[in-house]
Amino acid sequence: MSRRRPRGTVPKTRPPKRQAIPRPPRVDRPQPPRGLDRPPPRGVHARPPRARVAHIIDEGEKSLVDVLDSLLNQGVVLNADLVLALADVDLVYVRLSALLCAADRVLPPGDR
Amino acid sequence: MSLYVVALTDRRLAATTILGRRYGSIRVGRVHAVVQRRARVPLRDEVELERQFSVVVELSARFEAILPVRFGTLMDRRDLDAAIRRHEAVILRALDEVRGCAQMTVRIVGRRRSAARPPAMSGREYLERKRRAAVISLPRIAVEFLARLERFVLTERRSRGSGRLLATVYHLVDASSVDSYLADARRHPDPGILVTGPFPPFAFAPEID
Repeated sequence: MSRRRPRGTVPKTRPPKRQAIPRPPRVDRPQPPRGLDRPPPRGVHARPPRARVAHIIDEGEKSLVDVLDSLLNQGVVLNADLVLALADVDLVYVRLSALLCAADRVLPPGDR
Repeated sequence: MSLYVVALTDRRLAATTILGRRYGSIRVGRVHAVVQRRARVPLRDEVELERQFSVVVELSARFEAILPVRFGTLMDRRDLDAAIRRHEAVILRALDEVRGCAQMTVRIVGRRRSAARPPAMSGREYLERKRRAAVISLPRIAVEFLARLERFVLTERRSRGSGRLLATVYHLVDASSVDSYLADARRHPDPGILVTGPFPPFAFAPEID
């Protein structure tokens, strides 16, 4: 009998609740010098390898405007029926006006 | 239960919990859609938007190539299959384009030049004027700023703003160049030019209908 490979990995039900495992007593171990990779502590699954963009995106400076602009105005549109209310687009610019008020303070008076 | 799609990638995502919600992937051809099973679209409020943004950032940590999906994309399996199959080649090309890259966003603010009322003109002159108006024109200082960053930019997209927001410029930058890009941008600060990022490549989603 051939074995079909599953097409998806989305869990259908919640996983069973795990029993709490008591932590082992803490042991002071000599730490490697800074700058060297430390192995993960025992009993903890190693995290999947991070893509090289990961650390820079984690530290990215963002504002609420970026979040709104990214998710409401950008991104792949798969569903042709997805219609964003005009209020959402207005919301981006309402937030932007708060951001842009700083420009009012720095632009020369003649330019306001 | 429907599928709430947050991103597309070209590799499988093992079932995982991110920010308290369970995600997995659905394979359609060579594209994997990262999805959550849910009955309804999340509320369109700041909390949910911030959460989804953070989820996409976390996913970028796991995939070299990822295309974020527009907020609110709730579909059934059949529609998802059909949408991806129809545009699989375009999606795979876009994934290749953004692989190992991050997005920087440059917002240019300032005063719009108010055009004087035009004199009567012919139809051809009118259309020519409309064509020129459609081009996003930027202040000289912004043009110079963007020209300095050009050497780091793989792809650029621009969108017209409104009010004091003259334009938003999105740059796709290789991950290895982001630090240099930011250093260069900070070397020539200007109050009318706001740089944020790096982000996952939201603005470099393929145009698909």
